[in-house]
Amino acid sequence: MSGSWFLEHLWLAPLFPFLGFLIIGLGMRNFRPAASSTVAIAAMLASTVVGWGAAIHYFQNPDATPQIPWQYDWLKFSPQLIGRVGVLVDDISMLLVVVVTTISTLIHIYSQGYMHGDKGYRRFFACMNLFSFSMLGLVLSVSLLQIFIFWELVGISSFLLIGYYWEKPSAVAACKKAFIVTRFADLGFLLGLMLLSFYAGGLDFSFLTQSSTIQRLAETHLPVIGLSVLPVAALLVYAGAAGKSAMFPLHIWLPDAMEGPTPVSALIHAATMVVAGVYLVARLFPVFAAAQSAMMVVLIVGTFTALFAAIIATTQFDIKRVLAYSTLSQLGYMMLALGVASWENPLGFTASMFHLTTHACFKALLFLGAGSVIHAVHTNDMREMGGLRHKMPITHATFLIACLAIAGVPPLSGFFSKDEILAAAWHSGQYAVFFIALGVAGLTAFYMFRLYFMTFWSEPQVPEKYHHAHESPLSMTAILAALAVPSIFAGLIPFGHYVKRGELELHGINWWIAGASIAVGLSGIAMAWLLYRRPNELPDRLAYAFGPLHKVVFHKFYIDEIYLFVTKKIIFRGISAPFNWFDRKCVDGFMDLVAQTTLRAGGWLRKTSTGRLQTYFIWVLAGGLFLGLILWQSHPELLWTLAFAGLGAIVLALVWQLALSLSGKSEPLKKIDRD
Amino acid sequence: MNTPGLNHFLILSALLFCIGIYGLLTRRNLIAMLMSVEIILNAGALNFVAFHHFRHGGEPGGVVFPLFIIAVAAAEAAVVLAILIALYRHKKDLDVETSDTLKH
Amino acid sequence: MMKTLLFYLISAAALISAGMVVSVQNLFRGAFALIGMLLSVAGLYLLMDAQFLSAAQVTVYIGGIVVLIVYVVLLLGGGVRSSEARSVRWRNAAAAVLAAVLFVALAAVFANPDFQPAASAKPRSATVEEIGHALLSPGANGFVLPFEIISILLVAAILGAVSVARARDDDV
Repeated sequence: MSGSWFLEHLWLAPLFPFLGFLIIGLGMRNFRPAASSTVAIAAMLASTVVGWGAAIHYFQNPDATPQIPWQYDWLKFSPQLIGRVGVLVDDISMLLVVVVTTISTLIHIYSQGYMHGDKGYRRFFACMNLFSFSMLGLVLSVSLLQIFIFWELVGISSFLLIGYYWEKPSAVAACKKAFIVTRFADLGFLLGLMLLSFYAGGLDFSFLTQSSTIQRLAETHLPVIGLSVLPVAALLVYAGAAGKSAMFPLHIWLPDAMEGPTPVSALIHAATMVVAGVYLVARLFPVFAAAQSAMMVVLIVGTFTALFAAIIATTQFDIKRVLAYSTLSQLGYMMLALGVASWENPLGFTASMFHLTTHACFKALLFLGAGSVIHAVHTNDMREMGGLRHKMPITHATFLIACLAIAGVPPLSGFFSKDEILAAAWHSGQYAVFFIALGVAGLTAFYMFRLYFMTFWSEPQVPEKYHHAHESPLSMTAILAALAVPSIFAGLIPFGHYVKRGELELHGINWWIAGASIAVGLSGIAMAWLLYRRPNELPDRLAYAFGPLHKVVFHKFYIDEIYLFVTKKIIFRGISAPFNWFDRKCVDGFMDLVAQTTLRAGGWLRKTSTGRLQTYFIWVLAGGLFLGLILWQSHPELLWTLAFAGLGAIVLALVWQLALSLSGKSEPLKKIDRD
Repeated sequence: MNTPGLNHFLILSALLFCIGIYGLLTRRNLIAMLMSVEIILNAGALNFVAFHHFRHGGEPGGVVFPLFIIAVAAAEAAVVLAILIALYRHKKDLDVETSDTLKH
Repeated sequence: MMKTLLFYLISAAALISAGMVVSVQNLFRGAFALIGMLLSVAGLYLLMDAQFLSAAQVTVYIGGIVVLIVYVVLLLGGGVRSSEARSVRWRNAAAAVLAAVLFVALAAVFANPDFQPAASAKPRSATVEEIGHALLSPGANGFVLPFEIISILLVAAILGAVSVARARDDDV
């Protein structure tokens, strides 16, 4: 098949895992568990083949331009505003397709070993396929509408997978937290989407990124507030991205998401889903580039998150938590890179996408390695580990490679991507950002090697666990090795050649910047080596010395507690409670009023049924006379009078009943079952 | 006063009819109700004969019909009285007010 | 002139007896008042030259129906055993009002002067011969079919009355 076949049939890439989800989820209950993983992996492999085929074809072609091989006009709101779904092919979508399919496939294979024997094995693979489908659909989205739909689908997949161990209350709480926080952020996304659809008149990315559209948006102003639509809409959309990519202060869900199985953390919360926010900003780069205030927010929030998360990571003891905060920090880096990019200096764009790719590789490797370790010692707490390099050689080796990569040690991939981000920051003139990013790089090296030394060096802290530890099965270690390859070599790809916006001049390496980053990286590693290679009291004495500061950082700056306070004291008591009162007393009360009135009216009308013959005669005679009168003289006014009298009776009954209820005299009211 | 014409007889029959209606709606004893019904029937027959006499003398139907009314009244009275007898055996009184089992 | 006087006298008698029927508590007196009313109506029929009808009225109505009523009154004792007093005043008042309204409506219709035939036409009633012919003639102006059916009706009524009223084994 020629390369263009893959491009034209790129819609197969999300379709395969979707079919896998359906088949496994609906049909494979009575099959052996291994069959589910086989189907899932087969689907992902097929998807990977299609994805690579299309990407290779796209990148090989020097004249490649963004194209849409397939599209469907789904929702026609008006002749101009049409919600379309389709497949968008351009540099970043092809890049992400490759990343998502490859890493997903590798993690699917790893999970065969990791999840072996687990009761929900089939459910796991069905949800993993569902996630892959959703992520691929997101990445290939053609319009804001489509990306929003897949955005939510990804959210649901994440929810299902975080809550995989649903018997654990902490897992349930975590998946709820993730979903609620991201959903809340998506409110902003939706508002931004609505603003854009209204003021721009279209939802397609190709339309929204045109300079004419952007110009028009910049000149249009919102009615009441008077601000220009462009930055407001961009910021609102960014709110959604900030939620999904766990930027401060919406980062709280990501550390808790570690309740899910480790392959889930690797795939969703490191390599793919969390980068959806970065991807969205990248997708809408022309919009953000034109809205300076929005870009500044992106930059500041990203930088802050990077620093904030890195500081917290230095104090945590749960191996997955450290990695989670590391992910937060690296995501901050990616947003930072986008934030410093502009049309004059678009290096940040390429740097962000570059780092996204390398990070996906080594972070997935880190998580999977952590999973291997957890699998061996049955604990997440690093204080119970130690000396594992003797027992788990392959895990150790690959883990070390990943740590070196994330620390930015050349010539591994992380060095190149991090260096490009630093270079972009420097060249954009944002020197404060540069120095903060440099500091974060040092911190990254430190806490990663702290983790490494505590786990693989030092002394075994819990002898029984050490004794039982063993290397993981081949299905897991092979994947670790497979991921180690791009972690080492991915940096050598001339990214700027393939993925860029605007005119990118490739300078080559700026040795001052490179030197600075290598220096901070090595010093971080050295610090960690000093403190953690052998068990000693230095870390505890340092923690003691920093006293309250250390306590605050260890408790993650008490952000969760602040959230809880605001929610319970302010929102629940201040807003929800009055609404609840209104709903119960007034709304329910009104319904009861109507019901009561009906009951009373019925009871009153019941009295006409006396059972006495002569009463009935009287009614017949009276009715007959009345009708005769009407028919004889044709007095329609009488009928109107009757109608008004009837209405008046109903109103009177309601008022009467209301008076009775308010005075508390109506007993049947209490008998109505409210539930 | 002029000779009683059709209108006089008609108004008389209307009066009798209304008296009968009043009796039907008011009396508690079932036999009294039956007697009121007879008044009503007679009023109707009187109406027939009045019209017949003053306007349609050539049509014997104006007299035949009241004959039929009388015959039917007889049949009806017989049946009603039989029912009353059966009712009385059951309840020992002929008060229409106590027969209210169709009450709500 | 004679006619006028008779008419008003007989009418008064009819009305007064009807009033007595609807008001007296003693059923015997009610039955006799009914006889009075029926006799008055028979008189009115005579005033309208319907002799046969008047005779039939006296024979059948008074001699048959009222006698039957009197039998039953004797048999059952005319008991009105009202145990609970029920508020019938409102109902009676309503009945009176309705009856009055009905009368006003009917009178309004019946007072129409166009009902009166032309002065030239002489009011008459059918003769016995005509009635006889009518009763036994088939066809459009004949009443033989209703005549026969009424005989069936009378048989049915007799059978029904007997079967309803006869004493059962389980009754006293």
